[in-house]
Amino acid sequence: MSEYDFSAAGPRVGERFPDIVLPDQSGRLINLHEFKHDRDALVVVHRSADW
Amino acid sequence: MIVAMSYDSVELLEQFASSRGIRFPLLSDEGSRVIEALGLLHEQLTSALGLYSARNDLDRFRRVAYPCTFLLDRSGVVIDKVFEEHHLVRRTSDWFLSAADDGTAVARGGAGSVGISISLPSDGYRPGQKLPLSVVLEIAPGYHVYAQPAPDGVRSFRIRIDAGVDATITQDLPAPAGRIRDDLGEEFPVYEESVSWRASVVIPSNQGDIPLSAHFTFQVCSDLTCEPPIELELTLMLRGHDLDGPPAVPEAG
Repeated sequence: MSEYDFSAAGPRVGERFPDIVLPDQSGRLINLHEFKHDRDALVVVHRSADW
Repeated sequence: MIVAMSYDSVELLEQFASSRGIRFPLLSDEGSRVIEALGLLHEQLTSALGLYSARNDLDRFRRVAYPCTFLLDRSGVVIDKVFEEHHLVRRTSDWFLSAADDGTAVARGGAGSVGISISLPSDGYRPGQKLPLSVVLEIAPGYHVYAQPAPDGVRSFRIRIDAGVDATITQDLPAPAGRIRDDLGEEFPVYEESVSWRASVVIPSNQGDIPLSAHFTFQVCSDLTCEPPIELELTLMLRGHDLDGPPAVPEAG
């Protein structure tokens, strides 16, 4: 399988991360920007917790 | 603060979080609509799977996200993003380094059905000495790893050993041939059970403490399916000794 350059994928450095609202593991809806409020944040996008 | 996101269901994430004691939010994007809207859908992986479109056991590989991490500042602006080096990299967190009681230097790692170890008789080196590096690949029953060449779209097992710019690394024995496996009418060599390699590493001068790393890429397959490719790096920290010091390591024999 060949390798790809993903550095251009997703939100860009210098731009505001888009608003996202998703349920967390308890089913509670999380609005990312409201949740982080004025803290720094790491958003870790991963394949799966299952494999 | 940390927020994680994947295409897993709330139920699966709840089980995962409670089994690992995770308190930070694990966001569930079942169906990957948000991952897609963010431009993080792994379309190449899905299309690569077109080859195996008749196999519904590969559904979990569809609409997967690129593994990546975004650092946001207080106002929500992206100030850094980090992608894994390769699109299907699974970095294992369980590799570790140890110097065993007998002075042997060993590093072990693994992923899923495969374990790998690298070892030297000692964690010391002298200038010009031949260090006998041993690599052992162990594979669970029912699984195999493709040797070279592998079928199209599957990674073959590769090892890259790195001990700094000046080191000389030679393979002592030819690569194990692997058992020939018939895959849909084509024959490919595969590794099963336990396979080992021997290499010699020569470091020409005392450079103090140096890392000796072995970088592995491979893909684990069963009769039905192949898991995504894996990259794994194992490192031994070696202590440099001067030539006139006591012998640090038994010579390769």
